[in-house]
Amino acid sequence: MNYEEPQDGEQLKQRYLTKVNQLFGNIILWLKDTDLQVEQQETQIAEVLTGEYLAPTLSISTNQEKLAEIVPIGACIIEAEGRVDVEGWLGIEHIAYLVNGGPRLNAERKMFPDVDTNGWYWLENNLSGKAHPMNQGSFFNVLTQATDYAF
Amino acid sequence: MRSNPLDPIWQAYQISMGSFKITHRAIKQQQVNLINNLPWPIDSSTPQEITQAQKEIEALFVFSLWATFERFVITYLQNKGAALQQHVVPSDLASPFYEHLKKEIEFWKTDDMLDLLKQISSIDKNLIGQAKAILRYRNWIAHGKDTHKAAFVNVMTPVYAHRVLDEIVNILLLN
Repeated sequence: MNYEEPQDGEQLKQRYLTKVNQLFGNIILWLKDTDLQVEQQETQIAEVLTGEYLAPTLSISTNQEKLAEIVPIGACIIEAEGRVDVEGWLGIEHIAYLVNGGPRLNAERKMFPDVDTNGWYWLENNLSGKAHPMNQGSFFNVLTQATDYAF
Repeated sequence: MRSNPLDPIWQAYQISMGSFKITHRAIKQQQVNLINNLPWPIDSSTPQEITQAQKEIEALFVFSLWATFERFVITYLQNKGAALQQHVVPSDLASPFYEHLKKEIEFWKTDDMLDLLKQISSIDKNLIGQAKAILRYRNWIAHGKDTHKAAFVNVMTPVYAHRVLDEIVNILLLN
């Protein structure tokens, strides 16, 4: 979101939850033919604009152990329409919903050159400026990054 | 040319993130020789505690990044004011006038300093807007992360905060 244009909190919350549910629906589909199990739970989010609300989380496990939890962080994110973190046993990776090409460094330069359509993007935690649109391949990559799990 | 003061902060962050991974792997693989004599006890809750520590470090990284950026901007503006010493008349006023300005700049509001930087044509005005939003987040961290006040926005990622502030610093280094 653009912090200079505050919007109605309820609208922000609903818009965010819709996007999170779409992403989580896709993740469940992407993992369907793997050996991993997915369990949906809930977490509470508190933001000044939206107030407190419940949002879904996904817990991803093998037969032996829990690998990661996918946790919604909130709707009110600078220059994004929401963020979700993949909290693996090994590390945390960030996924943001970017719109209008994502944040810009100036009129000509995007911060993440690969962002062209509105959607969820995994943002690499380095200075490469890589943003990967969320699909099965990039989701498997982000899960590997956060858990060492090899597909 | 001066070096970018954000570089060592970024390097420290990257090393911290790598170190978290190494620690996680050492504990998971029970490599006892690697996890001896640590300043905290290793038990079943340690992995969760390390993950929590990583979240804290991410927030503190943005905090540290901002503090370094702010000091750089203050020094930049003070250096620009040094030109007064050559141009103020009467000349015996020049030096004390500059010294007073230099002292006062230390107390300028950060928002006002960012607005001044907006006047530099090579700095995108939207970038300054993003920097102000990061400042709100920094204030939220500094005031104990109270979810009922202060910041109403979160940062996209620590990398995002770095990219915004780094872009401004690099432009100032050229000007």
